Amino acid sequence: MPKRYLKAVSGPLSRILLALLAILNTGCVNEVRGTLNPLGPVAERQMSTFMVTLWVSLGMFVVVGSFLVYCLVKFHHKGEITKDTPLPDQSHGNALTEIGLILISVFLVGIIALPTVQGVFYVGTLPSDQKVYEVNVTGLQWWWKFEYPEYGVVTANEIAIPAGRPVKFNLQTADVLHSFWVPRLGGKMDLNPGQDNWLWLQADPEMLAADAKELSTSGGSPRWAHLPADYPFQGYVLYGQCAEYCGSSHAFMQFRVLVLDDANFQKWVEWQKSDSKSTLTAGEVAQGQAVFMKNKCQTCHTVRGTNAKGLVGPDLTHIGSRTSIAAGWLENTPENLGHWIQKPGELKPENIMYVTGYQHTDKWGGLVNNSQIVVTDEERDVLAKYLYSLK
Amino acid sequence: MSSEEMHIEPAPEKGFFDNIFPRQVEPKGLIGWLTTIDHKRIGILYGVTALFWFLVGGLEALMIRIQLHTSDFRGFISAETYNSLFTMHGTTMIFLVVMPLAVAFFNYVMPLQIGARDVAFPRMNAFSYWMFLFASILLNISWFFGEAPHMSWVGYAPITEIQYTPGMAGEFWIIGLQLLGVASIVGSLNFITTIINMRAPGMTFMRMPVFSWMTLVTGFLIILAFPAITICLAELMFDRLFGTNFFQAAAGGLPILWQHLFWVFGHPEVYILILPPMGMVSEILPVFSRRPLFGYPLIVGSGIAIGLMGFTVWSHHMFTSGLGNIATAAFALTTMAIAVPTGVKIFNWIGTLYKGQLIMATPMLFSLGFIYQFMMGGFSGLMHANAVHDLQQHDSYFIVAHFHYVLIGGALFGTFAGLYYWFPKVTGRKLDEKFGKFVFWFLFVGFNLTFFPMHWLGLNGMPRRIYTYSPNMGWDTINMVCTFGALLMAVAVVVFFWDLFRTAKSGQVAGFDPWDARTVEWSIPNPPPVYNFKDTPQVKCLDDFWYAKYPETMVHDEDETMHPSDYVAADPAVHGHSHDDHGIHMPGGSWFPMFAALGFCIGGFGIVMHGFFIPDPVAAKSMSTLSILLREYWLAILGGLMGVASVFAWAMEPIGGYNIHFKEEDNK
Amino acid sequence: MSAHGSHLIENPHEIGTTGLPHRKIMMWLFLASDCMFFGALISTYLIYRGRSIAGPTPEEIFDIPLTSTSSFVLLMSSYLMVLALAAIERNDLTKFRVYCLGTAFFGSIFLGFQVYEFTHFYHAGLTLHGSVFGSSFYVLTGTHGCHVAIGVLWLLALFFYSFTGGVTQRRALDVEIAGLYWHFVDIVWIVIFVAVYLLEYII
Ligand code: HEA
Ligand code: HEA
Ligand code: HEC
Ligand code: CUA
Ligand SMILES: [Cu+2]
Repeated sequence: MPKRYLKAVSGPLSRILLALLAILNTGCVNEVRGTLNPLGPVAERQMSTFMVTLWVSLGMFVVVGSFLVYCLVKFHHKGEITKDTPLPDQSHGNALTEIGLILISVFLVGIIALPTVQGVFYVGTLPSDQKVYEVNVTGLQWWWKFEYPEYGVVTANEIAIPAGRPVKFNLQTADVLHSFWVPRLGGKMDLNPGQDNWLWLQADPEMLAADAKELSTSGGSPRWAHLPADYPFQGYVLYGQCAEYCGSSHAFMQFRVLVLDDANFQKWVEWQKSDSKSTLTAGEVAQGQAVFMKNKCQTCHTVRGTNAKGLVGPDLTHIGSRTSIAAGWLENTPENLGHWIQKPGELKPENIMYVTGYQHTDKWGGLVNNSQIVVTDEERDVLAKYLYSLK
Repeated sequence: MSSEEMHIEPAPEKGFFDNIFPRQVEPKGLIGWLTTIDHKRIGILYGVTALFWFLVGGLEALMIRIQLHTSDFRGFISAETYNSLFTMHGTTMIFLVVMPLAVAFFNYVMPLQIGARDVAFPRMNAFSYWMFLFASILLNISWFFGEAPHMSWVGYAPITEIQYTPGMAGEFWIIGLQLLGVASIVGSLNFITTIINMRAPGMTFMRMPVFSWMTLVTGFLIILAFPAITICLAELMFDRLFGTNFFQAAAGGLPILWQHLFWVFGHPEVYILILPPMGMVSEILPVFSRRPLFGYPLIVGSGIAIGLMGFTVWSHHMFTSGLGNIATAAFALTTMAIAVPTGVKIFNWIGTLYKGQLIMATPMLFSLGFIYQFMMGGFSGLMHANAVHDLQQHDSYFIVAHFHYVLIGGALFGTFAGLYYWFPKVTGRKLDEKFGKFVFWFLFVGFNLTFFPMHWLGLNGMPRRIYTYSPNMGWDTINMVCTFGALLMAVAVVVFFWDLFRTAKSGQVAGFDPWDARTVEWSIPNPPPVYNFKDTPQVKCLDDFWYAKYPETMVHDEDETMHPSDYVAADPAVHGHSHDDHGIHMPGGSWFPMFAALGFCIGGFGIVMHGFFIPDPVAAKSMSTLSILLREYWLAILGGLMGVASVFAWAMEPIGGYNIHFKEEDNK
Repeated sequence: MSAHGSHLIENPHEIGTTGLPHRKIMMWLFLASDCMFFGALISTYLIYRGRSIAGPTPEEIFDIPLTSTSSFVLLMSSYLMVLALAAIERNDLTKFRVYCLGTAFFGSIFLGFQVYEFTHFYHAGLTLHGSVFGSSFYVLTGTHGCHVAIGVLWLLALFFYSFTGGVTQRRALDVEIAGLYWHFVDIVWIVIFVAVYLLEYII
């Protein structure tokens, strides 16, 4: 009943509206894809209830607005008002009209209320008829730590999920509030200190396929749609974002979600579980590791299979395999890596790596610490090459 | 009735404090303004101050818009500055612009509308103003310390805790808001008492103009809602200063409690912002439609209903905080219910226009803009109330669009309507119609251009409070449009201020009753004399002044007679309103409200500055806790003492003042 | 309070549309607002109940007989307050002084108990920053204590003022308003006593 009810109200109407919005979309920018282009059941349910609200409001707006405009046109008094101008109608109310309008309003609110309540329970209840994958999410200023408890995988700023499977995200924060949001898969949920919040999302393979097709025909940039060409798997990349203000670099606290099919997801898990395999020669790796250790990178970072076991920053074991660095903000290229390693403060204001590892002086010029990291140009290149090779 | 006709005689009383800071008798010049307790002057002070902060808040908004006009634009301002900008922009606009602008009208217009001589506690009224002024300055001098608050206007714990926001920024924000809260509560106690107790004879509640009604409702909202924010700010302050654990999750504290307490205040607060402009619009529409307000009792009733319901919906700001399904659904329903009383208002306003004789003067234009834009904002509010999709909308530009529609399109447009409408009352001069229309259209187009596209941005994933975004997102074009719209608004604002100054100095003289208005404040000269009404008006019906002018338009179900109990109140010996042999007694100006406010604000500043006085840890070892506290907070203590002493002196002040006698033949 | 006609009020400007003095109305409004202050604080306390990670717990340190005694003293002070108001309305200045001072004295005793309790708790390990129980307990009861202290100062001011002719039958309103405040502070304590102290033994 709920689904049919929704469809009846919103189906045809929302298609018209979507078409209008699509015109706006394509008229402006091709590749924009947001909450109006859902890729999973949660986002779809959210959008369809939104459409009910939108249509009721729009209907009301048109009716009330037209009547307002009608009054303005019809009763506009042009010219001077003098003593002799006859006064208009002086009645001051009409009980019947008032009650009628109130009843209509109550009825309209009811139309919105019903699907809302149903939707709240749909979105807020885990599907019980199939296996639910779990990901533990920890938000930190200003990056994400992801763990797959089932597989013992630890990674950062980039996750993979199996298409067509519900995934439960357990949300924790290590410091302030953050909010976990993948607009095309569903709404957000806050990461609240001292609270166990969770959220479930699911990517729908058919919607993904349709979206990919649409993007390839409309000529939109596929940047957010596909993995880079040299990526070992085929899949879909979605962007996620921290949506709760969390300090200086809140804008740069993003992440990416790879949607893979079951087989590729298993491959990905195995890969992430294993230690990294560098594509470099043993000598180059040793040199990279030496420079890494010399600059005290290991105090904060882990590279499994080496002596680097720091826990303050993102796990770098497979950093070379990620599509982005610095929490989704920069594309992962050797140049960006180098820039980040040498001058993280330039790319991401006040980030912890910079503030506790690199910063010499505070904003008034006072010395903060004198054991700070200074990465020379040669070291930068070595490190970038080394890290980029950690596939 | 100008002052030549009357004869002024100082009251004989003199008291101890009179020797140092005497109560002022008919003060002039700067001293007159500093010591004034006249509700009209205080209203003007509120208005001017709030308009000044509007420029500051607007400048901050422009910088935000310039920063966001295109993607990855980083040279203009740093992330830290941007964060301070939107925090201060939000805080300024809400607490230093829209609220005090409404208070300016409460002060100036409400006592005139109910036929009172002044507010119930004139010196307390002055205290509210000075408190507001000094607190607003305190909040804004943070810029000069490089410590402007940067944790957003809602300051969600724990980012406001000392670990994440060290330095003075936190205290500036906490103390600033705390002092502003005191000013608001004290002011509202005063307004409510005034309305309950100082209505002219015959002015029963159901004959009271809607604006005064909304003042009353807003007053109640303020005294009942502000305590919640005061307490959460105090708890936060203790966390920061004395290491309590209210919002420290590690010790078992619940940061979520902040959100609850903040929004228990915060949602009534948004109705505090909108109800006064709704009242103004309800005054203006009938005047410019030349017909009575449609459904007066319902407009009043829905105002009260909105106020009451406003306390039941706070968690709709927290749908993404993990409330659980039941609470989420419940708050979604209570929120949606508010659409009904709000709709009643919209319908009745339009009902007033229907069959009217619409005069498209500037106040009317702004009121019509208000109806349209507030309705838009209300509908997007309803979309947030859809808790399913609010998970998508929350903290995105969709929200930014919603609240600017209700705040600018609603509250600010309504207030502008009021400003144009009552400007002749205040200055005796009418703002220019041509300029007014220019300002209206530029603001209208600019506003819709700025904020309508933001709905689209939000739905396409643009989060709020980000200082830049990636070019990959495809948000560039729309942001450019928004920025362009903001520039149009800036043009309108500049022209508006220029017109304001020009008119105040040498505008067209308005004369008596320039709008053919309906309420009693227009039955006295523009601007009104110090004593307001020479003879206290005897109110026989709603819109008394109109029916005095057009008795034939009275529809006869109207209750024309005065209620018997009103005559008791009208007895001059008891009421003391109309002048008899003693003339009209006007109280004298007083210094102490300002001193008290100054003292408390210096004390607040002392708390902000406490970090500078902390003894170094080595020295502190040999000091007792008490002496450390004294050293840290000496300025706070000193300021507090000054405040308390001033309040004491104020309580001891003689009545003072002077009597105004009219020549015999002036008595009608 | 008692039905005294408006002729007893010194300043006729004070009486308004409702026939009540402005200041009395304002005091009621202020108390409504104050209710919300305490409401927020008590909610905080209750929400944090049982969430402390470090001790001591309420059961470990509360001394119900002691606090009951101090609560009783505060309750009795309200009774004296009523008598003080009745005395001044009868123009019985001497009695007024006795009762007024008595009220202030009982209030001070209550404060004394509170100071004792705080020191005791502090030594038992309950500190402002030690646990959420400590934070919310001290801030809630401390705020109430501040209210009592202000009340005591207010009553003392009335007491001394009565010697300079400042408190008279015609100005009984001053006493009445102080009384309203005092009773309110008293009632709030009853709520706090139940919500903070007794609750531990009920649930
Ligand atoms: C003047 C201020 C003002 C006003 C009046 C309102 C009015 C409303 N607001 Fe808004 N709101 C804000 C200021 C305001 N708001 C601010 C500042 C924020 C953001 C705070 C922050 O996070 O920084 C906010 C955020 C906000 C949220 C939180 C969103 C989020 O962060 O996720 C929600 C959620 O429900 C909401 C809902 C509403 C509703 C339902 C109304 C209703 O009162 C609107 C009712 C009006 C109408 C519905 C239109 C007219 C009615 C009719 C014509 C009748 C017929 C219609 C029907 C029956 C459908 N608002
Ligand atoms: C009533 C309240 C109000 C008003 C009137 C405004 C007015 C404006 N606001 Fe408002 N805004 C808020 C309340 C308000 N805002 C709140 C509460 C927030 C949330 C803060 C937070 O997230 O914590 C916010 C946030 C906010 C953001 C989101 C920031 C972010 O999330 O990153 C943006 C972005 O565009 C914005 C833009 C604007 C613009 C363009 C105006 C324009 O309408 C302004 C028009 C005015 C001018 C253009 C003035 C021009 C003046 C001059 C040219 C002269 C200056 C001269 C001197 C000072 C001498 N505002
Ligand atoms: C003080 C701790 C600290 C030190 C020392 C440190 N880092 Fe980091 N590093 C971090 C943190 C924290 C982040 C996440 C920053 C962010 O995105 O906000 C990070 C991020 C990174 C990233 C991006 C990871 C991703 O997935 O986005 C790389 C690469 C990196 N660091 C390399 C290094 C190298 C190389 C060094 C040594 C020269 C180093 N770090 C030293 C804490 C540190
Ligand atoms: Cu994390 Cu915003
Ligand atoms: Cu709200």
